[in-house]
Order: sequence, then structure tokens, then C-alpha cells
Amino acid sequence: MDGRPILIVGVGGLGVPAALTLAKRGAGRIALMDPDRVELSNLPRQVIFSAAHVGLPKAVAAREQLKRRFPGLEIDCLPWALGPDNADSVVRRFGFVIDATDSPAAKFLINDRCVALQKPFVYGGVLGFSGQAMTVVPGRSACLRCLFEEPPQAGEAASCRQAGIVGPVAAAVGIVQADEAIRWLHGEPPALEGRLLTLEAANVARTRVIDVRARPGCPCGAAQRAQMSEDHELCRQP
Amino acid sequence: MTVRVRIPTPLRKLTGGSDEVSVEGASVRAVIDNLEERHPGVRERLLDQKGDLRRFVNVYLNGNDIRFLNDLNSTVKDGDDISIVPAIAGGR
Repeated sequence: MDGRPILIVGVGGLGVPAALTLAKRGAGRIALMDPDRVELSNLPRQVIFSAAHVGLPKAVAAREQLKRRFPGLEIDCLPWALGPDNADSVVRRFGFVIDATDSPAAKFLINDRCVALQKPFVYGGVLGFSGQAMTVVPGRSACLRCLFEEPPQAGEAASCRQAGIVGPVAAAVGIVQADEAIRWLHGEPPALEGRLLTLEAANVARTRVIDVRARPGCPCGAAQRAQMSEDHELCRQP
Repeated sequence: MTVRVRIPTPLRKLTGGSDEVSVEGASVRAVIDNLEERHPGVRERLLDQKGDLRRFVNVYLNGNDIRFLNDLNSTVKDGDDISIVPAIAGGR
């Protein structure tokens, strides 16, 4: 497996199951990034924490718990927020990024900086019984801005506070995200590269995977590269 | 034309909890208009004040992103499948 570390941004409903899955699947080095502290309301779905951790920084508490169960796992602890000022210096240290954040702004920041730095990442989101995940390999596949051109502003989209979040749904998406990271580090193509998983846990027949095309005009430039590649192939044909 | 519209979680409170509804319409825009008549509030969640699709919402017609078809003017036929896919950001 590629020895480069995996960054998990957000140690919550998505990030905790992602970290546990990476540990169980033999990842060598991960980093946990989150500025928040453990709250009592986190405990039902962030199963790595107990009441004894309430008030501790999530990244610190999760590192402690993971090290007890997986002593060979190297874990960097980054108990602060990813923001425009530090994103480049943080992201460039890692081989793959798992977006386990809970805000549209953070998701688009991760997309924009990973695209700029050519770092693959997997987007994830959950709301109620629904979840989404998509892997972005910059230069190869559509990015988050190809899919959604802009993040919703405050009040434009339903929040978790309004629609709720179901712990097992977040866990399922977090596990999928970790699997994508493991695939990448094994040199395998991620299953969700340029494909959006829409998980409908309350009616699984509605769960689908949608092909996401690179959008012409998107700053990531994937559509232009795809067109150039297509033109090149046409030129090569006799 | 009657099409099936798959309703995402954030809009289900407007459809009485239904995750799929059948709606008439000859184009995606007409389907949204008819959806609004039956379930007031849906259009505002999907379209901006200019009547364009909001930039954090995608609509798929039989699995194809309508931005790569004829956008909201994409024509639909009986039995077509429309999916509304908004960005969802939860993860805590």
C-alpha cells in the first residue's frame, strides 16, 4: 500500500467511522483534523467517544481511542479548523483527503484546494436517511464544482438541525469514503471516481450511482482536458 | 406526459413525506411548475428568482444531467424518470 498519510477533515459522524475503517483495513498513517470538542449529543453516532471524553478536543480523544485499539497506527492530531489560510500547507502533506466536514463552505474549500494541488479526495454528506459520496481525482474526473457550481448559502438548504442525521447512514457513508481512500492507496481506481453515490437508506431501492460529467467552464478544467484527450484520439484514428 | 419525480430528503416535508411523486408536464420546467401546484414551496427550493435552477441543485432526466441536455427546457416523455439531487452537507 502507498505509505502516504490520509487526512480526515472532520471527526464526527462521517470521520469517526472513516477513521475506524482505515485502521481496520491496515492504513499506516492518518491525520485527524477537527477544531470541535466532544459533546454529549455526539455520543450516539460518534461511537468512538464515551461520556468521559465530553469536553475534550475530538481529534485528541479519537487519537487516544484509536491508538488503544490499533497501536501500530500512526496518527497525527490537528485540533484546529481547515481554513483558507492553512488549507494549502495542510493538504499538500497528504496523499488523499477525506471530506468529513459538515458545512458547504468547508466542502467547497477542500474541493478547491485539492483541485489546485492535484490531491485526490472523497466528498461526503448526509442528511436524514440520505447520504452522498463522490471521489475527485483532479485532472481525471469531475470535481464538486462540476456537480454543484456553488455551495448553498445559509438558509438555502436544509441543515442537519432541521432534517436530522441518522447515525448508521453517516457511518455507511464514512465507511465508503474510507474504502475509496484505501483503493487509491492500493493503486486501484476509486469506485466513485466521477460518480455520485446517492444512498437512500430508508428505501434502498432508490439508492443509485450517477455518472458526473466534467462541466465545461468549471475552474477545475477537467472538461477541457477530456475534450483535448478526445480530440487527440480522433487525430490518431486513421 | 406523466413522469416520476424522485424527491430528495430536504424537500420531502413539502410532499407529505413522499420520496417519489407522479407529475404531468412536457418539459422539466413544466414538471416543476406542476409540482409547485401540488406541493407549494418546491419551486422556490429548486429555482432562483430569475427562474434558473439553483446552482447547488442538479436535475437528472433518465440519469442525464439536464445541464448537458436542454436545461429546464429539456422535453420529457411518458414514463420518464426525473431525479432532484441537491448538495447535502451534513457530517457531524
